[in-house]
Amino acid sequence: MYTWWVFIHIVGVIGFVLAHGVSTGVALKIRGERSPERLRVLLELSASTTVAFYVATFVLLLGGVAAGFDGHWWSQQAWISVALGVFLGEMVFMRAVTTPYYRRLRRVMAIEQGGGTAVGPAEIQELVASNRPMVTVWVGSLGLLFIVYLMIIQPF
Amino acid sequence: MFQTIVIGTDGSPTARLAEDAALMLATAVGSELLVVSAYTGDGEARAAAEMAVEETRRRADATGVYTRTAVAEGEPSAVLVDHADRDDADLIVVGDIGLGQRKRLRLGGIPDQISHEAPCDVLIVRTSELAGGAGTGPDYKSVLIATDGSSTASHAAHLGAELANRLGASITLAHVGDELMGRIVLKDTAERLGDPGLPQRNAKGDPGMTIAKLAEDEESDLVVVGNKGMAGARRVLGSVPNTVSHAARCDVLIVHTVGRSPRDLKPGEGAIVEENGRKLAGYRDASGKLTVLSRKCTHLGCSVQWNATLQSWDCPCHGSRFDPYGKVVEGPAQRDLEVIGA
Repeated sequence: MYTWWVFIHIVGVIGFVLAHGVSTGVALKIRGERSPERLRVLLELSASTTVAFYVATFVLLLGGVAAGFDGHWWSQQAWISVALGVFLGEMVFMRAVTTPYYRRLRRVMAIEQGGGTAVGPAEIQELVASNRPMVTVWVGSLGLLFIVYLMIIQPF
Repeated sequence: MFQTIVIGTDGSPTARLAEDAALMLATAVGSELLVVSAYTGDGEARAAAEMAVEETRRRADATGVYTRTAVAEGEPSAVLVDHADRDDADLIVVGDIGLGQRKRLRLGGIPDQISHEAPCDVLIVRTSELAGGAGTGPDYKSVLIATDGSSTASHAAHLGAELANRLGASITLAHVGDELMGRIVLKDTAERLGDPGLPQRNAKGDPGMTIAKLAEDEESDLVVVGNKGMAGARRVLGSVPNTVSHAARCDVLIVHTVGRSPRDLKPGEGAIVEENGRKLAGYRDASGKLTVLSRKCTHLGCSVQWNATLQSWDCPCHGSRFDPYGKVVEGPAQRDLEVIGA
């Protein structure tokens, strides 16, 4: 059964990386984008992977936690607890940092789409120049690398 | 705009000051006045209540305002809210005597209870500061309209601007928070109100306290805010209108933007409405036909918000958009909003 749990875990990881990869790409692309139409498309592209992201996250957590029980790691090794803690901590951090950023961007894009002159190139430039996407990319990548290190090396 | 204004009176000098405000508004916008007095106890208390409403009726008759009166036994705030609900009133005018300190879980005095439970807009008149003064009634020359750019705040801004225009008062728009968003929201609101040149103030800090401070700085006579957070779970956490109603030194108009019923919707208007305790997305088209939808976005279940500019239901989570009748305009949602009633 253990092998099957690991298999489910890896399927979840693949789905997670694929779905989240789209959001990561959008986060990097948005910083250089100035066209409201293209920004709206990017935001929609990012949002379109949300369901897949949450399903994949559930599957990877289910597989990983169950494999931990089947392999008796929870009681004998600390790395799995640390990996789970880092993963959950990252999710909370990402949500706290990115949700206000994207919500603000979507709101401004809606205002821009409604006509009027409140949103011009200067406002869009100021809006997308935020370093929040880069912070999340770096924190996300480093966190993921650390979790992979914990899983492969199992240092403690 | 205000077809029926409810005013509570106990015949006291401060109640007269609130009456002055109600009469001034009723005259300016052509409303009818419903004068209500509550009593508890014996026939003597009822007689005093009847005398109070008759005195107010005489004063109203002198100004030409059509007036009805009602006397009922019970707690004043409950009686006023009940009459406003039954008579489908648009505004309750109340003095600030007994407003007291800001409270969250616990209800304060009569104006505090009314401001949280009213089924319509509430005007809190600063009678406590005027008590003992000339008592000539309010003269709104300068109105501060606070907005955060949300659809509910936009509704409050339009009503505040319409009122200011009817009264011949100047308007200042205010936003508290992020500088860039403030700049965009204020400019967009001014354009939507038809006057891009409206004075705009953007500031940082606690929203409620900062709005009250801005009103003082601008020497505003009236602050207009939406009622977001005045009821439900948000009430426990405190809310911007609650803070403004306690902290502002001028009169405060709390516009009923959240918790409206479908019957409140005007032609061409959409809003989150409440029916039988359930929050729904309501839209009334130009012909008066009402469409009531589930407010849950079919993508991931977030609550949609009305976009008055684009006449669409927008999901703030992932950007899905639906037309006023719930049809998908933009994804990621694939399915239309559920139609509850049409």
